Parts: sequence; structure tokens; C-alpha cells
Amino acid sequence: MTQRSAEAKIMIRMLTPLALLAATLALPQPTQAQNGTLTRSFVSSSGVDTNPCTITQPCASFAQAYTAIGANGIIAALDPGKYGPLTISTGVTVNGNGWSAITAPANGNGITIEAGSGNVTLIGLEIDGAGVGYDGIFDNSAGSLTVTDCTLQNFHWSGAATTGVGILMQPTSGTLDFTITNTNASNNGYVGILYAPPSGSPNANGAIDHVVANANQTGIYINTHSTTGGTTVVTLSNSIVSANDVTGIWVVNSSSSTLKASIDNLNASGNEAGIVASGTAGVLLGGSVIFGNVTYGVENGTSPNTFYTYDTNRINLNRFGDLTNTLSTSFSQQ
Amino acid sequence: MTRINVPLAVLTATLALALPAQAQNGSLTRSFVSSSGVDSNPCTITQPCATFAHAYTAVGANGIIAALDPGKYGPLTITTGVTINGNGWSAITAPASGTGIIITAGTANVTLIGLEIDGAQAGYNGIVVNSAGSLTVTNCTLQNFVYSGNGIGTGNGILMQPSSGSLDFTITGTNASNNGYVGVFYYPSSGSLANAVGVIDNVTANANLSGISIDLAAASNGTTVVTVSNSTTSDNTNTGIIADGGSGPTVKVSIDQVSASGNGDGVTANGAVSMVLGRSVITGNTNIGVADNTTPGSTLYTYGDNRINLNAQNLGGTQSLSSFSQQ
Repeated sequence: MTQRSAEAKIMIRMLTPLALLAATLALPQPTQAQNGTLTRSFVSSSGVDTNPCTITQPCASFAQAYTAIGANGIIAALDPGKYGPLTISTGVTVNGNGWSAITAPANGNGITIEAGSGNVTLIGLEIDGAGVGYDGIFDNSAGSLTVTDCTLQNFHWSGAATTGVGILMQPTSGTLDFTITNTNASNNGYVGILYAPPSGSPNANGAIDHVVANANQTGIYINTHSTTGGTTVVTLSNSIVSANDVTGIWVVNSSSSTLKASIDNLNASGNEAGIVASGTAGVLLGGSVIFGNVTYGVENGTSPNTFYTYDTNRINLNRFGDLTNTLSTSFSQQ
Repeated sequence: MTRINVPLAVLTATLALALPAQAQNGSLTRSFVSSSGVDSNPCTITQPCATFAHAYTAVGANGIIAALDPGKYGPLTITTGVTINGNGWSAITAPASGTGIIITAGTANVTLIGLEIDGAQAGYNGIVVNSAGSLTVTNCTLQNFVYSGNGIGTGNGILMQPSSGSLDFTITGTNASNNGYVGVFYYPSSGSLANAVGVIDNVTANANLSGISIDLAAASNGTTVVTVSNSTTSDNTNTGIIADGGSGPTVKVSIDQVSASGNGDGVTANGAVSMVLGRSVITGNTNIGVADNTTPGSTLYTYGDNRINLNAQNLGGTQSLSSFSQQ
């Protein structure tokens, strides 16, 4: 679209008939509840929240556009802008088209998800804590969470384990399928991507691919230590974790839960520790570079030893040592 | 049109505010630029500014500047934490004998996204980092910077030259080509004690004097750990990827899944550097494919899975390569 036609479009939006505007205002306007009738609603930097959130009369905020759609509706951003934080309680897709920003409020979250078994898809969002917001995406429940082409940065850690996180997933029941791809979760005070149910026995199937999680305390942290059961299977691939102050990747479970993690073609460098695993977590490691970490490359605390290598990793030049305990070689490629 | 029709009262109020140049002391979390913006605006989304430099004065610490549409938004000096999101359609032309973006940010985090920074064969450097806690460069292009003919401070796409502190740098999805000196250059200034952890991934650094250079020759101490992965260095006159150690610093460089072809030398390690090399293609270089000049003994380690062939000389330098085993 040319600049001229974009301006023309803005003009059209400005010239919305007063009658239509009045009709819109007369409609009930619940906040933060998804009970509209549209399949797709729209936001624009020139939109206003008294509009019906259609493509010709877009709204100004994701929160208002969310009220305009029915279950499993789609919200899209028509142009670059800041569209504000959002609480999601049902299935929805938010497509920011790569040019949509959300600033989390101080001590608050960018997107809060309490979607039960609904599917939530987030695409092309830059969610920023500006050094004062707590979490980028805060997911208490969802059937699935898909995060693609997003940036989550500058979230502030208060000292609590639920703050300072790019993406925090903490279901306590049900099964969460999460897919995080082409996303950068860096410069956060606690963790880039954190799966940490606080209680219960939830299940999860996760894929983390083409992710960069640098300069957090921990890059990617899969922690089912507080659960009383459930099965978690996570694959990490083609990703980079670097310059994290505690560890690049951390995997830990409770004795009553099952946790399986695959780490493939991953780069963990310049962290305090590269990869840390403990409990009875089963870990498969292949094709990865684990290099130049300050303490150890791989801290294998699993007991019995369930940290398996395919003998295809480059684990070298870590300052204190490459391995704290030997990795199991009982698996071969086949 | 709407942006121009700002009520006069608003404009007057804005002008009445103190507007220091090039200092980040505004109150906005996010400010905006547009090709239809003007710098007398408050840099909001409805009244955007014309330049990154002015939009920078409108945000507070750790604020974000975004470009609303394609345009050229001018050079910038950064002194605190900030994110500049050019959305892939923002251009900066460095002034003649000058720099596109200068960063002296202390320990703050600086993120640059989607910028095309051009020297137009007259500017000296694309990005110069004197200090930052972290530097993230994503989806940027840095090209056509000219070398003045002496020293290291000109002709670079990205020049990082801290003298102290710890810099975490992450450069991804970026092209630093056709520069007179180095595409991506880490060179702590003389006598410095700087530490760095660097990631260079999915970067193209072609047709420079050298593509990627990690050079600690002038530093006196500190630890530097850099990984270069999934990247291409080609047609660089001197070297595709080069690491130089010094007399005090610890330097570790990992090269994984990289292509270095058609350069003078492909990959070179000089002095007190530890380098690991795996899964890479090093071919068609007109001098040496891999030059191991590490000291005192060889600390250039290969995993035995590189393709180093069809260079004028495949392996060279003063040492024979060492090896590590995969585990």
C-alpha cells in the first residue's frame, strides 16, 4: 500500500458517519470478555475503541477488538502501532503481522491467558516490559498455545519466580500443547521461556524451535518439580541460549511426574552453565554446541543416569569442565 | 493528512516543552517516527516525529521507538537502554566520515531491529558500540561503509570497541557486506579489560576486507566467548572469519555450520585463541582454507566433519590442527 492510499484510508476512517458511531456506542460494551459476533476483528493505529472493530472501522486496542469476536475468532493489526495489553479467556488468534507492540504495565503482564481448553495463537508481536513489566505472556490455562515470530524482552524480576519471564506457562491441570517458534525471549530478569506448573498434575507437549533466549537468568527452564504427577514432553531444536546468568537450559522434575526433553542442534554458549538436568528427567542430546560456559557445559544430576547423548555434540572449552557426570551412551542413532 | 492537521493548541503546547537534543529523558514508553512526521510533534502514534534522534528524546529509559511506515529516519546517538524497531523498512544514512548509530550506553540493553544502515561509500561505520550491557541486532543491513585508509575505526558494518564491563551481543538475520574494512568487528580498545559473550547467527558478511573479526590484540585482559553459526562469509579480500588473541585475554570462538568461500583466507586463528570448528564448508579461497597460527601449541580444534577442499592451500599456518571428539 502506498503512503498516499494509506492516508486516504485514514481519511475514510475519520469520516465515519456520526449515525453509525452513535449506533455503535449504543451497543453494550463489555470489557475483556469475548462475546462478540465477528469472526475477525481489526485494530489500527488510527482506530478508536468506539468503532465496531471491522476492517473499515477498526479499533485501537487488542482488548477492545477481543470483545468483538466470538470464540476462536481472529484479531489482526492493519498497520504498525501499539495495541495494549490483553487478557484472553477463550480460544483466539492474535496476528500482529510483525508490527504490533504491546507494552506490559508496571508490575503487570503483556498478555494473560486463562483459556481453559481453548486454542490461543499469537503471531508477530513485540511485547516489552520496558524494565518495569513482570511477564510478556502469562499462561495459566489453554488447550494449546502457539507463539510465532514474537519478541519478548526487558521484563523485570521482583524476586518472585512468576516475574521477569518472557513466556510463563503454569497450568495446574489438563493438557497444554505449546509451540514456540521464531521467537526471541532475551534480556529478561528471570527466564526467557518458563514452563513451571505450581501444583497439580498437568500434562504438556511442547516444541521450542528457532528460538533465541539470551541474557536472562535462565534461557529456557522446564520445571515440573512442584507437580504431583502428569507427563511433560518437550523438544528444543535449532535454538540459541547464550549469556544467561544461571544456565542456558534447565530441566528438572518431581519424582511423581514424568518429564522427557529432547535437545537437538542447539547452541548453549557463554552461560554460567550450559545445560542443567536433575531429578528423573529423561534427556536426549544431539547435534549441539555447548561451548565456553563459565562453569560446566552439562551438569547432569539425573539419578539414575537418564541423560543420553548420541555422541554428536561439541561440548568443549567450558571453564570448570565439560561434564559434571558422564552422559549415558546407551542410545545410538539408528 | 490527519497528522498534519494537528490543532495549533496542541502544537504550541508541545513546543513549550523542553526538548533537549539527543538525550533520552522523555516520559513515553513508546515513541514513533513516520515519513509524514515532523520533529515538532510529541512523537506519539498520532503525531509521530520525523527522526529517530528526536523520537529518542521522547522516551524514558528502556523505551521503544518504532517506525510506522517506510522512510529514512537519520543517524542517532544512544546513551541509555532503548529498542529501535525499524520494522524492516527504516533507513539510516550515515553522514560522510560519520556513523549511523553510536552507542555509549553503559550497562543498559540496546536492541536494533529491521534497519538498513548505509554508508553510501562516504560514511565510516554502521553501528559503533563503545559500551552497552547487551546489544541485539536483528534483521538489519549494514553496507557501503568506507575505509579511511588507516586504523581500525572506519569501514565497518558493526564495530564493538568496549574498554571495560561485560557486553552480551547477539547479531542475527543480518547482512554486513561491501564494507571497506570489517563486516562484524569486535575489537576492545587498547588496554581494555572488557568481557564479552557474543552470538553471530544467520549472518552474511561478504565482500568486505574481512567478514567477521574477533580481535583481542589490543586488550590486556578479560574473557571473550563468541559463537558463529549458520552464517556465510564470502568474497572478503583478506579473511572470511578471523580471531586474534592478545597477551592477556581469554578468547574462545566456536564456528559451526558456516560457509567461508572465495575469500583470501577462509578461517584464521592467530595467537592465544581457542577455536572449535565443525560442520563447515571452507572452499575456493584463493590463499589458505584454514590457517592455524595459534600459540603456544595448536588450540584450533576441528571435529573432523568440515569440508575444507579446493582452496589454493587447504590447511596452513604455523600449526597443525588439533582435534576434539564429539560426545
